[in-house]
Amino acid sequence: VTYHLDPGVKAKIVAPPSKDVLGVIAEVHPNYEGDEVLVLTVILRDEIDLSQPSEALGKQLAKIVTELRRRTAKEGVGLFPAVRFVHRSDLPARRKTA
Amino acid sequence: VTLAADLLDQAFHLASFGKTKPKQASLRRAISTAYYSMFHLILDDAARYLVSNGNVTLRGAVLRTFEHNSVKKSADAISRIHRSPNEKHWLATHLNGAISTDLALVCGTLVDLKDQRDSADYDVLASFTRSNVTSTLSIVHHAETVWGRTRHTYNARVFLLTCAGLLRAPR
Repeated sequence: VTYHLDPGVKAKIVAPPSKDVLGVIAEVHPNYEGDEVLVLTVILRDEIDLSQPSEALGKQLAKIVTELRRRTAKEGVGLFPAVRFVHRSDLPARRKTA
Repeated sequence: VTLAADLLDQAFHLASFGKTKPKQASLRRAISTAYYSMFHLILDDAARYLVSNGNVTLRGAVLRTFEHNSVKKSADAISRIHRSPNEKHWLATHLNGAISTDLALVCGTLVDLKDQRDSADYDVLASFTRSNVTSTLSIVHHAETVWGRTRHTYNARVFLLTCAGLLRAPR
């Protein structure tokens, strides 16, 4: 049985949580073990430097992760929310309108 | 310098290989290495908590008893209780008050990282980008820093005991 994400719930979760976020894509995917996970792909402005890992960047991104997890909990989503970050320029053209 | 810190440095190094087009192998190994960094960070604290008299041989033997899935399940349980504090969960009775945002961040990062590591190590169809890997490693770096200030709390100790399989769901 695939978890169904209510459109109203989805809309509340994917609202950009900060000015650095252009959009969020919410999708239910199985992980490698076959358990369903709510994958939240956060589209960041290209100005955010993702070329080198750093703790400062981690702190900035962790705030977004925490906020998105808080929202999914508030909306009663029963799946683990995994969060992925991408630059808009990394996305295939068909997904850039998300 | 701990093994966990060395492994995370190694993960950073792997993610920065190849100036323009990084190899998938480097990005996959970076994710996997970051997972082992966090895994060893948690296990080392659990073993030190359980074997506190400095007996390195005994501590090493205890370290070998930890299982990846039970550590992930423990982190998932803490993360779930933090997300849904009103939901019934067997582990909740062992906790002291609400789970802190710090502990929830560490546990959530570990759960997510285990999934990413499984994909990186076993899923040949998965594709990784440098920006995705960089963001993951940065969050791991932050989570490991946060662990430093939450590791001695009561609920963190409950998490470690659950990782060790000493606290389990009643049958």
